[in-house]
Amino acid sequence: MHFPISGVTISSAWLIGLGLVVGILGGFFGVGGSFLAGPALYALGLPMNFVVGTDLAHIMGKSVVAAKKHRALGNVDLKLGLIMVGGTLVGVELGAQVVQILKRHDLTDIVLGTLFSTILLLLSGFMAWESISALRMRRLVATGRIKTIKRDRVHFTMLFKRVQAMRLPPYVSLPASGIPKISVWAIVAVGVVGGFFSGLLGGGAGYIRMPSLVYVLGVPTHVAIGTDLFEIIISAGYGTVSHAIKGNVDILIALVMHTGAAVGAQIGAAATEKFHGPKIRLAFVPLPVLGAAVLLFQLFHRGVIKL
Amino acid sequence: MTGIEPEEDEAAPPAGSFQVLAIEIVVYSALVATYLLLVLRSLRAPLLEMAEHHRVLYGIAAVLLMLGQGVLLEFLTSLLVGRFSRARREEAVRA
Repeated sequence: MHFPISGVTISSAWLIGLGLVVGILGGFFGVGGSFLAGPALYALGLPMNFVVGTDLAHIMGKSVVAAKKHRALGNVDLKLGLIMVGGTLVGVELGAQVVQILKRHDLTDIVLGTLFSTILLLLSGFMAWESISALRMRRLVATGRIKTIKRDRVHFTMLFKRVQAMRLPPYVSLPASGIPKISVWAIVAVGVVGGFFSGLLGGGAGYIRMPSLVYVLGVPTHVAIGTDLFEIIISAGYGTVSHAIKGNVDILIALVMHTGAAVGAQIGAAATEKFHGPKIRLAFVPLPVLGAAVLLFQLFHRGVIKL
Repeated sequence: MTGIEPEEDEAAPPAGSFQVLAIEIVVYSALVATYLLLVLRSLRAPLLEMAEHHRVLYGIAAVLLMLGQGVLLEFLTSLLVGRFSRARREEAVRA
């Protein structure tokens, strides 16, 4: 099928299949799936600036489905999501402006491709380390060497404890996330960082925001998944309009992908009830690596990166 | 709650429920193919016009189309998944 807005020809079957896989993974892990969708779209021939904008549009539609499912499961902290919105919108626009600068200098493929690959690899490494440590802790509890762990908590607790103790008013309580008091600015900062990567690299940046919610703010994994999906709807919606104005969105490609993602998101979201937090995080680890491998292969194959 | 409901000690689903799933997949695939051929192809020209000459309108149209499709497909997939779940429960009762 030819897509005249971006000027590429891509098989609809491939796009629907890609959407299905990304939808399942996205609904399960609470991320938009851009760690796979982005590299896959680039591999299918879509220029990198269109990858960024089109993926934003696609995951916005998919996240509506998955967020509704997670809302039904009680996994969405609306208060947290609405506070983050302001920071997210600022971050998205900053990211989109950087893409425009790179476009003017014909640097989108090399800079965004390399940056995206690096982030994905670092993220996988960190989550592997944390998840294995958390599972080890659970085993210690099971054998009685540690008395108890009260709830699903990450191994890396020092950071979010310091953030929650930060003295920077105004403060807010997040009962849905079990957080009695936290600075609003911490939440906004997470929103800005997540929004920036969303506007810069496309997708909902759940690979940044979801770990940030868990490790920086101390939100339980299930709530982080659902709240992240809610946030993606808003950030990706704004990002879609911003990038569309800048000429970086092929909405037809996004609509075709979404027909597969709609089914996948339902399946993925329902599957989260079967697993505990550390197992979900550990299962996530290979996926960004796969995305990075696809992207790097394409960058070398097309001669964007030369050895 | 609509959709798939996981169970702890889940026995293998009866053979009939796979037939129901296969039929639902065929139905969904046919609907999607029809949608792609009729709706998306007919939108190509007007969307291209907007993308080239009216970008703000194009941005708004992109969001509305994606949200609209999201709601529509969520309704459709929930309907199909719900029917599949009911068919499995009926098969399990009969078994």
